[in-house]
Amino acid sequence: MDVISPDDAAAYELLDFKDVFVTPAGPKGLEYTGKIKALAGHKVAMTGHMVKSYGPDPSIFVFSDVPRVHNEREEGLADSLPPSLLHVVMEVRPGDAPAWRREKMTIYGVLDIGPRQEMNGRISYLRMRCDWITDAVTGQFLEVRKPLVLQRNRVAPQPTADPSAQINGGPPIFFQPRRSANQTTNTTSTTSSK
Amino acid sequence: MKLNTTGKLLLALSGLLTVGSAYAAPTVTRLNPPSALFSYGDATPPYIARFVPGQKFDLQATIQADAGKTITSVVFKVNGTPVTPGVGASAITSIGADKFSATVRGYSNTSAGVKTLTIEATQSDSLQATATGNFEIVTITLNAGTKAKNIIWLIGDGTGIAHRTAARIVSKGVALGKSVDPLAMDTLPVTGIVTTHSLNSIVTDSAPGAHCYSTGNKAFNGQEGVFPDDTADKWDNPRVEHMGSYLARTQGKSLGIVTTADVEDATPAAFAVSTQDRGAGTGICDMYLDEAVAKHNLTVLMGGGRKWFIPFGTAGSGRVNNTTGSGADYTVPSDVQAGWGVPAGAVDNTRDLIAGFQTAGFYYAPDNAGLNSMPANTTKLLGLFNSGHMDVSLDKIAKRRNNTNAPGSLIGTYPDQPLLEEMTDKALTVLSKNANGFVVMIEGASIDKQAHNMDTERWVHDAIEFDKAVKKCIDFQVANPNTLIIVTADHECAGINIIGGSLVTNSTLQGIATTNAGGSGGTSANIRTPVVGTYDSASFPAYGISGDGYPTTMDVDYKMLIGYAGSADRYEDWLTNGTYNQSTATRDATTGFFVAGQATSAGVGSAVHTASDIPLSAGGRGAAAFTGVYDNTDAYFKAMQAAIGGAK
Repeated sequence: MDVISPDDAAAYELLDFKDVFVTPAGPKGLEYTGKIKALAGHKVAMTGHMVKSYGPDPSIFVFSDVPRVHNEREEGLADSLPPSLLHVVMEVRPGDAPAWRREKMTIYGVLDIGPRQEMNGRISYLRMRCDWITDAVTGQFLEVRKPLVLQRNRVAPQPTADPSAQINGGPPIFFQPRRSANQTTNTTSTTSSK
Repeated sequence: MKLNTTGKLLLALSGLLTVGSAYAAPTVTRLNPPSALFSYGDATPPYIARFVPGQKFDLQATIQADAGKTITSVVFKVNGTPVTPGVGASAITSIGADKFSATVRGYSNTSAGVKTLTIEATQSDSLQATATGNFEIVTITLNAGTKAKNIIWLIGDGTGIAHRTAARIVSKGVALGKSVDPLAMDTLPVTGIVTTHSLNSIVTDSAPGAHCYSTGNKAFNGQEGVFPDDTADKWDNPRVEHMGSYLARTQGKSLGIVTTADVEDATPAAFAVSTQDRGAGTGICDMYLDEAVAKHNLTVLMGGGRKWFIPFGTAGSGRVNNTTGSGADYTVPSDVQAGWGVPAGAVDNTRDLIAGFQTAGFYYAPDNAGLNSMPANTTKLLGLFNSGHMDVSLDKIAKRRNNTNAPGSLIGTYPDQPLLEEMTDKALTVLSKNANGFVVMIEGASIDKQAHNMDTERWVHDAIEFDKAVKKCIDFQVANPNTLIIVTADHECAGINIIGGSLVTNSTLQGIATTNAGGSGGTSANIRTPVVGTYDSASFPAYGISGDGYPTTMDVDYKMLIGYAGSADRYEDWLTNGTYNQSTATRDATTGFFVAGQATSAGVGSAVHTASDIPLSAGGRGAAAFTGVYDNTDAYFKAMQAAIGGAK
């Protein structure tokens, strides 16, 4: 069983979700804590759970303090997910994407903070370029990527020709799970020469 | 309109003819407003699109031209008379693949009756396409009595019959076969049953489920304030005027929107916004200020969703910088601007929308303390109490009682969120200052959201919270008799029913769960069969009520048990869940037994809406019309009769 070594783990500063933003919030926006501002750009480890959701970006999954669920079909971006949501950025493997796992995990990587618009429109405030993922209890390395063809609940991204939809040099796709097929049934249309 | 097997066969054949002719001549492939005459060649009732006299709506058609050809002119005719658009309020727009969208914006008709709508589209080679549909201008009986000055829509999102029953059992009790007391909504004198289907499915989502009440018309799932079209543009769809706008324009009424959801969510937005994407939060919230404040006389907006009001660059903002993706901002084409008298909109993710509302004269309350310190002379109120959906009443009450922050909730970040009845009280205070009256939509949103997540105790608790808001409104109606109260839902959620009562005490149930968690998990043999009491064994679950009016605990001995027919896979241990919004794939996985669900599709990880009819209760001026079984759009016309023509 491959487990993370104590020396490797020790190179990462532990960060708790409650240390992301100052609480309670003020009357308008949020404020990063001094701790997280000091850790930006450094190696950090965070423990929590993959959010059970199906975003369009094959390089990202979202991670939070408790095992949450997010239903793209029902909620879109009007949701109950916390602003402290961690976007975990992984190396893209063609044909694969992160798939939900139930284990409590520890993510090791380099912390990035500040607002960034993600492919599904969500503004992330906390990202980690992932080095390793381990089971939080055993320390065993976890693989969270899985072939897309085996992820039956994942919603296919919708193509768009709008260049403004491209972000971060990524593919021009956006996630519009509610976009309905148009009804074109018609029996009364006739044509004639004028 | 009668559809049967023969009709479907004819439809299929005519569809083939339509496809065949597309290669030789232009064809009208869509005509709005939607009608059975256009889609099925059937001119008989029910008429799909209906409007009150003078209500504005857009005429729109999609024309498939021949390859390389263009559509050079389009004439819409109503009962044979050409429609003359307002200046700049019409357009013929190429939408790709030799398709063209033709529009006349802001049309209205004051003459009651069924109208034939014809389009004549001319192609660049003079070939012409025509199509026919219809719509109805519904008769409003004038001078039918006193007009309803105020209209209060109380929407328990997802609230079917069983949600009400559950709230009554828990908050009022049942003994010797009778409810000890009724819910406040039970005391309303008129009850109806409402069908909820949307324009494209027997199962609606919350957008058309509220659009029907605010416009009197059907919409596609995911769409609000509009009819469907053939463009990807979220903001160019043919519009239908909302009740709030119509009554502001014709009677000077105000509009209020109060919800426990993110204010950009489908139900609140359907009362003031026009878009084919219920998820376009940046644009939806901008439209509240840019359009609804001016056109609907929106004077109260309360709920969650502060993230849409904070400029990008400030932590916590959710505002995006395009008009195409999820959460999009808005711009509208020039014909919409001209036809509806609205601004163009802009992609402006750095906009400070809270400041914008304050500049427009709104008092801003960020929390319950702010709400309570609202100056007495406040005439416009904005309350934003959470970044997303507001936390639920079970967790808000726990915070007030014990200063606890439920795991998974945002109570720690937003510790002072008001309850729905508190928001309702302040909304009525502000709205009632308008001598011309008001329309207000008050939504118990998380009855639905927690039913989706099959979190029984949280949706029951929110149904109780919703009923307390109903009580506030009934008290207001008693003092203001020319007020119409409508308490209903937009659809049923989760296929909920009350399956019985627990056979065991809470301590026994906790003991079973603890044992299961320490072993290999729960089984049917130890936490289903010994616990689920049906028929006589269900007995009468009894809950205590604390001084704050809410259940002392949801984990009583011999508690009420709930089952889900619209379920996703889940585990059940019957106990209150400690963590808010926890995935049902992990929740109770060690303590409970596995329940296989049948609701599964892309993007769905929880229970779903059902097509079941929903209850409606009404009281006050015009309420008598709400009895019977009727379509959800009928509720709009019953309310408009009371507001425009009056009622005994």
